Amino acid sequence: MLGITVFGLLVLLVISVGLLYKSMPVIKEQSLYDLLFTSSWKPSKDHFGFLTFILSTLRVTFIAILIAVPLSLLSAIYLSEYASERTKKMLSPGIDLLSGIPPVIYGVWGTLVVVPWISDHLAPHFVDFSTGYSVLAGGIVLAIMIIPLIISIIIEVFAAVPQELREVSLSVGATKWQTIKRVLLLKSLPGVLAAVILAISRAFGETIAVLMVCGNFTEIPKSVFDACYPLPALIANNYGEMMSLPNYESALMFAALLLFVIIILFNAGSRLILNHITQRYQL
Amino acid sequence: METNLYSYQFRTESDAVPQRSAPIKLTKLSFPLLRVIDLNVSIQDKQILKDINLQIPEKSITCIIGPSGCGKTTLLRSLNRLHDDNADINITGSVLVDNEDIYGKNVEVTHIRKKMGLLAQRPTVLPMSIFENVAYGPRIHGIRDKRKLYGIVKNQLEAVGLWEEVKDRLKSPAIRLSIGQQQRLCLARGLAVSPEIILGDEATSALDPIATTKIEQLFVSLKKEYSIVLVTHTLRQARRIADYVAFMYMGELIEFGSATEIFTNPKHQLTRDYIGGSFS
Repeated sequence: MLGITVFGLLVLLVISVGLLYKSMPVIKEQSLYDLLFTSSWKPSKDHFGFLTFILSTLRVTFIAILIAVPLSLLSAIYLSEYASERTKKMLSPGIDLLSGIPPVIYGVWGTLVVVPWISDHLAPHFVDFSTGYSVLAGGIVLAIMIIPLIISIIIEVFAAVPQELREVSLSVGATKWQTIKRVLLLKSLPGVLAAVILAISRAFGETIAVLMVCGNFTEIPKSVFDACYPLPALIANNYGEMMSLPNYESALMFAALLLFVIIILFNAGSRLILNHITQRYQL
Repeated sequence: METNLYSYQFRTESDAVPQRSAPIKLTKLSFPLLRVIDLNVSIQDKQILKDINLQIPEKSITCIIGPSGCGKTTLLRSLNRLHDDNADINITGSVLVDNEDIYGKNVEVTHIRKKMGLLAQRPTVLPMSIFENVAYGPRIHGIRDKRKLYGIVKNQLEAVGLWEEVKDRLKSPAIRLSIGQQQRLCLARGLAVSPEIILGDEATSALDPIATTKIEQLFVSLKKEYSIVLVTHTLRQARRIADYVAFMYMGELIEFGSATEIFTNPKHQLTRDYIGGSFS
């Protein structure tokens, strides 16, 4: 058992060392600052600036979380606290099913429904022109994909809150909603945060569905209706042709390394915050 | 089963000598705060409580005793409508509090529950500070004023004898208190919404003897202002603090009477056997 666990961690180490080794050429050629904080992307001139991709990834993820968290939280509250056993039995398999649908199908749905809706109905209210392939489209599709994940984790978290705690609140005359707001959510705060963290990690890495709806345009998006180009999409789109240009392979490996580091840093950071909250409030 | 069980009425302490057929004098205690009428409770078609008729006198301690699984806790929870959320439980009959049927139509459950402070088997503190635990109820009922809240918290913590022990660390998490202190904190939290009745569900079963004694002393001093209903598994506890005792067996209320009556001269054979320790 220990061996297997150690082996798993070793794989992680091997991946990071491999990515670092492969991306060394481009790091040596350009400064790290140049790579991270400039946005000109000219592979033919051997210049790679990743700012567009980093910002695109962050923005798409941010919008997805902004949409997904409130919706999932309310759904989870309904399913765990209000719904009758029958409703639960009917709806829960549906949620499991949603998380089992292949991302490419979400991508197709996004292209056929979300993108035209944004370009025809939503964007005209705010900007002159939008193709619909945009940060927002990516965010919406991503949100739909992570909602089932967040819901099912939060339901588990709620189920772990002792019934006695709810009864304590009810027995001083609190309503169900007050009990949910003031006791249930407080007690499950670490769990809910953990669910959100997991969802964000998943969202960072989601490739195909986002790639299909976000336009893949190498310029920093000015609004949510502009096209964008997240890191995973960059790697997936260009991996086949990377041999033709010098340092291109190395640049894509650097993109992978970036994604890897972002996710690890993010996870470590949120773990710290989570520990702090749990300690501070003794939840 | 005796036929007059269900129409039992209260006697005062002076009536403690059983006089089966003698007419019962109406005293103040004959107007109980809490009346249970024909209460039937079943869980998934299994009947847990059968035709319970019970009257809880005010400003005294009533202990509900009986062997495990006899329905004591179910009865106690019915008084507070804590079964509401369980769709498997079917309840008929009525429970009158201040002459209002809590199972009646259009009855708002929160104000019923506010009238009763519940003390659970294991102390259950909310995941907040000591202060916030006591202030929780008053806040729920709309008290925002800081000084007023502080006053309530101080009063209730004093009432349960916890103030001196915690006054310097009101802001620290309640979970850090000892288990006995936690139970007293729970009691203070229940009292903070000024209930009329205190319901205790084997409230001392998780506590050590010293903490148990403290809680019992508290009950005795609190009965001046509150009506207390305790489910207890330990006969000795009932002997120590009960004014009235209800004995239950297999979902039925077998006998109800003053503590002296039940412990010295129970009318029913089952009660006698239980008190005598033939089964538990």
